[in-house]
Amino acid sequence: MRKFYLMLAFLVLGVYLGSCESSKKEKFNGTLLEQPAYDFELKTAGDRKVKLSDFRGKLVFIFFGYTHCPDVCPAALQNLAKMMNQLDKEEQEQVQVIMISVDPERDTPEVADKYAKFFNPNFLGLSGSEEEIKKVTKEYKAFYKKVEGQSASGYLVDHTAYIYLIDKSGNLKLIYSSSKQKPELMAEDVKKLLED
Amino acid sequence: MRLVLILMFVVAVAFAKPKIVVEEAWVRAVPPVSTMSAAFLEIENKGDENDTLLKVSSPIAEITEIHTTIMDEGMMKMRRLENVAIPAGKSVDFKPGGKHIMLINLKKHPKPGEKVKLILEFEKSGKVEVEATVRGMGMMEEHHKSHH
Ligand SMILES: [Cu+2]
Repeated sequence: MRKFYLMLAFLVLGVYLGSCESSKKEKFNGTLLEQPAYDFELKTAGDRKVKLSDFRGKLVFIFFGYTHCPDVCPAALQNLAKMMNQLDKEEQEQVQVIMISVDPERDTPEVADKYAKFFNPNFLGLSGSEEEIKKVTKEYKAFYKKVEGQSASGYLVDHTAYIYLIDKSGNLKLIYSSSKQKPELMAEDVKKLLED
Repeated sequence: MRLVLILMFVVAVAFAKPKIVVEEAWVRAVPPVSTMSAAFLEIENKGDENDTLLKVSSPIAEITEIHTTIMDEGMMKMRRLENVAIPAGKSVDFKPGGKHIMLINLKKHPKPGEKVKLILEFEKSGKVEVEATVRGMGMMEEHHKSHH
């Protein structure tokens, strides 16, 4: 009989947790993905190596952009900076924002990092070799393509402009399309994820 | 009588003109490592004849181009525009995520609050000079707020 009660208790708990899980799924502003995130290794200023797994235990936002981009990229990083400002100090310490350059030819790790830090001194800018960037973007299903002959600025880079959110255990948890890249929407998701 | 008619004709032709008004001109402040920025504005044609924006220049940039950002199957693409039609009675917006004036190879880094001169050249209205305000990243102001 005791066994029965114990089982019942587990069952009730299970159903309770399950319902919790499913109701939470509806609540994120970003699109829920939940899959292991590719653990890249790239470089930041001073040629320091940075791996995604260095940030286990933190939430990591990743944006693929390039510093010669005057419109979409600064806007996305600006929104991420505003998102950070909507968090309290303790929450901020648990969030890392990373910009990965899709223009490794012009963006050295130094340039990429300086660029990112302009938006928030704790942001991190990363770059790498052509092969490394190709590999990372492929793993995240981000795309980029050099376009020649459009501008006197040299070439332009077509790129996907999603923002990715990696959870504390290194899972690719949420993805934000441009219409969802609003500071308050991302901050709301961060607060929810930090609560668990 | 004939003279009056001619005069009336001349006057009518003289009045059929585009009338360009530029508003809300601003330039995006960019990180010091960036060699480019973009200017945004609103061009209204209050006249009764169409006009076309042919080119733009600015003393802060070596090269200035008219660009547009397009979303194509999830890809953000920037493309150069040869010119932009400004139809009579219509307003054309240059705003983030859309048309913009691309400032290439900056000679001087625009700082928030500064004024940047833009010279717009129209097919019929000729040159129109505009003072654009440099807008910061927004979070700077918020930083200040939170410190007080
Ligand atoms: Cu452009």
